[in-house]
Amino acid sequence: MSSQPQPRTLFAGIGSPHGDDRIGWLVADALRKVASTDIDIREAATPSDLLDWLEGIDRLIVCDACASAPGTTSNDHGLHRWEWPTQEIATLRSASSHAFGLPQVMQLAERLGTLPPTVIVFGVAAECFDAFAELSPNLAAAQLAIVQRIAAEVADAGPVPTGRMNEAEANNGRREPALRGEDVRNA
Amino acid sequence: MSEVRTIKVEALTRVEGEGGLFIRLDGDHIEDVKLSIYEPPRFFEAFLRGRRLEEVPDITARICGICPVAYQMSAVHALEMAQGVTISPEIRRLRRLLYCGEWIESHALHMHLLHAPDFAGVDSGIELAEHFPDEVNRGLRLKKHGNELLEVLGGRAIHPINVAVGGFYRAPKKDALVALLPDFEWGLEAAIETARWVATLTFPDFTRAYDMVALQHPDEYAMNEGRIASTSCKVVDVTDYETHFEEFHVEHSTALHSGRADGHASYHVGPLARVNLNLGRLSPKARQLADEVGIDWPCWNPFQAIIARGLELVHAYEEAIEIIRDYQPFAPSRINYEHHQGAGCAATEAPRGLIYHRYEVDDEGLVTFAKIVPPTSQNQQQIEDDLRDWLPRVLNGDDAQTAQDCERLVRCYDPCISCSTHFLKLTIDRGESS
Repeated sequence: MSSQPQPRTLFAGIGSPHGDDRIGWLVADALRKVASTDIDIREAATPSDLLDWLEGIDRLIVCDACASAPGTTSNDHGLHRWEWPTQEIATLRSASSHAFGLPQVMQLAERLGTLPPTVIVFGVAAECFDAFAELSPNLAAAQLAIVQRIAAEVADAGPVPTGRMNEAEANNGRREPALRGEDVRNA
Repeated sequence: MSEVRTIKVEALTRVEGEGGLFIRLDGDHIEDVKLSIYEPPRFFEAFLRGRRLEEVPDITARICGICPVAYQMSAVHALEMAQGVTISPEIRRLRRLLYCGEWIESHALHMHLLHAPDFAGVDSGIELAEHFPDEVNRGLRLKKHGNELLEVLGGRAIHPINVAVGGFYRAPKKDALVALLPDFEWGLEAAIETARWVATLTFPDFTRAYDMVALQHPDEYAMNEGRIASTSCKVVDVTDYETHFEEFHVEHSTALHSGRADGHASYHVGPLARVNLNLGRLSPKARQLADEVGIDWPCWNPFQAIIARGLELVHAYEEAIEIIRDYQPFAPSRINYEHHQGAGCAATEAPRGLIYHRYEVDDEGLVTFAKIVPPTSQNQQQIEDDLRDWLPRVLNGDDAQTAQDCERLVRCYDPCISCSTHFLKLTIDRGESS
């Protein structure tokens, strides 16, 4: 008798090296250090990157920076959480530099039947998108809590994280080690 | 008394970036046409000053999440000229392979999700997927192939970090490339079907007299080396680019416009210019297709740029397969050099058209000057000129429809307007025109 296959989770952090837009990559980097190896963790430069990775995925968790959202609810750390489908995210306008924004990616995948059954989107309230800037002080202060909240979501109904996260681990991505590509250059 | 009115598209859809369109009419007389861009490209150039030249490929790659390779390729070639570096034939071929990956990814995305909807009577790629699910799924597979090739060559999926001044930090393993071959062999056939499909779309009967500009190389379909050819003017060396082409400010756009240095006349860069100027150097299957698609080349209809993209998609697959099959790991993967004061420039062919870089560096290898001219800046004035000719055909009293028709024309150029950041903005997109 075959055992039930383990649900596959993909976490995708969408980001860039520009100010608070880094947050998606930073969360991905922090999760990589603590999450189960069964979780696929990827950094995306554009929302359409997600379309390449959905095959066989049961649960998609996305983190992206979002502009301030008056009138919308977030927790104390400026973290919004949406579950697809939701009218709120369906009407989001991607102010992205990319023609095919996150809502469009969701809608297209849904139309093509490739959207995982469970989709959760974390939007992190961002203040600064200046080219190559560091995180804004407010977001830097909230980074640990944001990572812990998303890590809990990733662990929920999936494999349990292998270790307790500390502040150093959560913040480790601030120097964005992946960007320098030591794996390639020191080989 | 005639009525003065404006047609505004605050946020252009299905274009890469933040741009708007402003048209002022007095009756049916066109008073003004402006393509507005909210793009700060000069910031990157300032950011590069004082940086080590070895950092430039990484920094410029992050200007655009869609076409990082284009920025890297122009940067490394320009800096190699500045440092007197001559790369090996193996490095050169690998760079062409890298560019093939970017063309595949970018062209497949634009053709299927951004441009084809305009000819299928639907409003979006999402709606297109309802009517043409097989074609859209095929397009997404092609896009994925491009990204996978970039990942193998570039070291990772986003913003390749394996590209260096002088070559590559590491030559890829043969096995990693060969593993892509089954997908690429499928992709070549799928690309041919894609090119045939887009050729069956119905295009507006709209042609203009263009000065089309693209790189040209005697032996190959020009990607990262060649002279600058034109359908109207003489061929010039890349080192003379700034003698013949000039950037200038316009009030309504944060991006510099480009024009011919003599009088600032517009010119057209991109896949249509490349195919028109390099038809005979397309790969065999792409060349054969060019004869099948019912166009009497050269083509002067901007809407048919989607067919040129289809031909280049085929070319990129065919050339990528050839390079992968022949590939053998090589050493050195990077040519060494000593820092010295110098200057260099280069032009390569981004998916959207010619991209020119020029740098000056000091004895320590620090950048003292940087100039980047992306394709969209060069096409911006051309798009406005096109719209002035296009508008009389689409003014029918329904300004909302006119605005949509104008957007269709803008999208032919696949403008990549603001390639630096992306974020969600929590406002409802009404896409208003008035």
